[in-house]
Amino acid sequence: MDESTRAGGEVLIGAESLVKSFGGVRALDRVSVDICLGEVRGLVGENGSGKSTFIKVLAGYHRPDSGSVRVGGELVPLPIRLESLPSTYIGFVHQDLGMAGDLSVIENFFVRDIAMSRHRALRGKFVPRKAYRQRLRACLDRYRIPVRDLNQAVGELSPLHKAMIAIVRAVDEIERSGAVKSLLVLDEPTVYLPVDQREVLYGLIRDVVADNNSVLLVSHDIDEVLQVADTITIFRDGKVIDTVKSSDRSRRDVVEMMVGLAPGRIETMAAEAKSSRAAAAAGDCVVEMTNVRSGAITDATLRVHAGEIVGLAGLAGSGYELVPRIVYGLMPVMAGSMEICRQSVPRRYSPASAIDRGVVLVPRDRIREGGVGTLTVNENVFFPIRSKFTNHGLVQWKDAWSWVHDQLVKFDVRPPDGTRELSTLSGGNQQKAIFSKWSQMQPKLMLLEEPTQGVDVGARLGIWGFIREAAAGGAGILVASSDYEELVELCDRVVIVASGAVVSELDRDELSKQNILNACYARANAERTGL
Amino acid sequence: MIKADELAGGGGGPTEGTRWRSGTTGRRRPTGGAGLQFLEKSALFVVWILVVIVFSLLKPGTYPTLSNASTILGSQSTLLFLALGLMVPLTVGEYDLSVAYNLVFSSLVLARLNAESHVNIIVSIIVALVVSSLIGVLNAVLIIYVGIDSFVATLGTGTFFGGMALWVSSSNVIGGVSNTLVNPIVVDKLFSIPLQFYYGIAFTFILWGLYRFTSLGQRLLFVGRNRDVAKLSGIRVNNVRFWSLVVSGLFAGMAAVVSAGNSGAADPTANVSMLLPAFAAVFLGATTITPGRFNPWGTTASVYFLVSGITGLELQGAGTFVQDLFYGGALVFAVALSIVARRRRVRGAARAAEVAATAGS
Repeated sequence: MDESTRAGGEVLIGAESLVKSFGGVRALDRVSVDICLGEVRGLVGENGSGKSTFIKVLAGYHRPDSGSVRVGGELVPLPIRLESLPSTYIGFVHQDLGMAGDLSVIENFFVRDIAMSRHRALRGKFVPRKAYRQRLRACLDRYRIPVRDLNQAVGELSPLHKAMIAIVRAVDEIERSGAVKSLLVLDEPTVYLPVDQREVLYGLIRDVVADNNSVLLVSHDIDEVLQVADTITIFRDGKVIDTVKSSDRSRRDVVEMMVGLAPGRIETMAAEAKSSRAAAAAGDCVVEMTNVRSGAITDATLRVHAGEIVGLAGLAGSGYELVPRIVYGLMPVMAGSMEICRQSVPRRYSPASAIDRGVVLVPRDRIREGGVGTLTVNENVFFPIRSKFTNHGLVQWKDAWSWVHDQLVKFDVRPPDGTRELSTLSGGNQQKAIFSKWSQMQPKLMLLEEPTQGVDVGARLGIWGFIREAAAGGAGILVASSDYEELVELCDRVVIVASGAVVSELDRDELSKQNILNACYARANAERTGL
Repeated sequence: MIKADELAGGGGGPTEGTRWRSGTTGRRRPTGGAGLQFLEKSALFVVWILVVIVFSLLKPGTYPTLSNASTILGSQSTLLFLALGLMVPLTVGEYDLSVAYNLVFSSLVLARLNAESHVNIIVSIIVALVVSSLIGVLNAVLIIYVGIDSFVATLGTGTFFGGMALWVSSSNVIGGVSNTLVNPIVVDKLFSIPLQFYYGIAFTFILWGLYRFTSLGQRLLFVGRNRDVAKLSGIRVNNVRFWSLVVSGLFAGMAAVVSAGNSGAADPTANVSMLLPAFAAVFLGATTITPGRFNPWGTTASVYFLVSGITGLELQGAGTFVQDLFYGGALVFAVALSIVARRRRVRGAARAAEVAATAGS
């Protein structure tokens, strides 16, 4: 099946026929994967396809029911014990990066040394501050990471620098371990990074591989995997569907293998969805901002009409992601005027009054802002409509729960069981549940932040469908996204923000990933040459 | 600072923050069905019944008697009011460590006005309630507008008013509170139980209604679990926090009224014995009826459960130290139990959701 990779070089990690079941469901079904020395291997698959389970087997977190793993040609006992692999080191960088925001760069960098000093080369009774400092400085220089102050709290760094340091930390741990060969597993390292900064990280990954490491890159972003990885292994329903060379395959091929649809089906689906709302009639103006100044936004002028989907794009630091927060009353308007449905917002404008005016916000961070993971799906979805089901001060729970159940079915939340805690759903299903929480209110204006960040392809198409449906139903939609493909797919027009100001606008016929990127950079470049 | 709700088993766990992407954590054992859930909800009551049976067998002459039952049920309303009030800010995610000191200070205000300055008892009660609420307002201002962590702020104000109580009373018990108050608290009885018992039950009932049947309960819960979500969902979070602290102050005042009526006096050193039992009752209450959530009936049941055990041990000849053992032990036990139970629930639910999602796709 994968001759191209078999022939590719020495196999570093070879998994053979791994099987792992959870309560009758096969999370891994005879999975065989060979990762070669010096390659970047991409790992793609929808949520529940088995890729996480596979990584957890590599991490020694799961013991497979059957199957074997060879490291550097030698069979190793399972579950894998990372500290006793034959002259090989496996390092992991997870999506959350494993950084303590309150601690300094240097403390985070050497956290494992500090935690278990006896395992590492740089040891001593006291923390060898000077040696650490020199070593960290050398690493940062080597990978050209522009972080000057080693005592700065990690929480103050930009997401990009944080991600870079997390990766370099893993690389350095590999080197300090003295292992000859190594695999670095990157689990969705770019999820929280804006598109324009991901390139920098890709460069770093290539540098890491050039230093004779292998990389296993797990990502939802297929373009990213195609761009960075040499080979791609596709998981579906617990099985390895194929391992392909990334240079041979298009994005469409990979998506179709992931989702398991017949060739061409995805495009038909997307086209159907798009045509269903071909005529975005310009309805009444639902929000109008005129020269608004608020926080890092210095001058924002834009309008959204009923039935229209308007995108917001910009480089990191441009402030594009703040605009929905201003409209939602989370940031006070210091100058200029803002009208919601042709009425100026009052002095003490807040989310509560925004909701009263038919404005809703689906925030970017599901766990921290979207919903309460420790409360049930029912309670989360019900929360904003509680007054609708309150009679003489008493909540009509029966009616409320059956209403919520209908919403969960409508928005394809799996399982549609409202009594579960929200956190027990998968990422895509959490997002659908939170989407239903706000959609059910039939808002006049929906503010969306990265609506499909970190969800799988199926859920993504589903959420796009709901957004289009809401617009077709007469809602105005303002969507801030760093995912330009999403903007191209969804939007009637895209507003570009640079240095806190709205600078340009792209109409539907001008929309393409490249045009958006160019427009975002145009202002930045102009400024640079102007200096 | 650790959020109170996490201690009650509501938050934390492996679900938030650092966790693997699509949570395939699993145990082969499926989670308990309805039977196990029912057991979890009713465990406290089962243990309670066992405690009563055991002590009845050990002291058949004194424990299972009407007068003992009357004492147990009719003597705990001060603690019950304190605990019910404390439950509200805890639900919202704020600590109020000042409640016990507030109780003592307010009861001294009442006793001094009524017994020493001969102010009408109704007026004295109203003044005491206003004073206790104002202490709640002070806490709220310090916590919300100044931004002091609630643990620190209420520890400070509480100790301050505890000191004030000692000062104004010169560390002496002030007796002689009007019988107009004493009678309807402890002297008058219904079914052989002093009326104060029924006041406590009535307020439990009211709070239960608010928590269970109005959206207010949901608002408190959302603010307690995640302020950002609550705010983005249109809740005026600071209002909710503010009023929750005023409510706990007011309930401390009501506890003071009951306390003054119960003994006809105000004791400036009573605070020490009240704070921990109140916390123990609220947290133990969160392990029953609706496990993982603070709830009024659970709190009330815990108050009486704890005193049933303590009374039994004291009848066995144990010294007063047994109170500390019991309340302290119960607090730690309750929180530990909540955390363990929650861990099990989350794992089970994650597994089940995963199976369902996989099967559905």
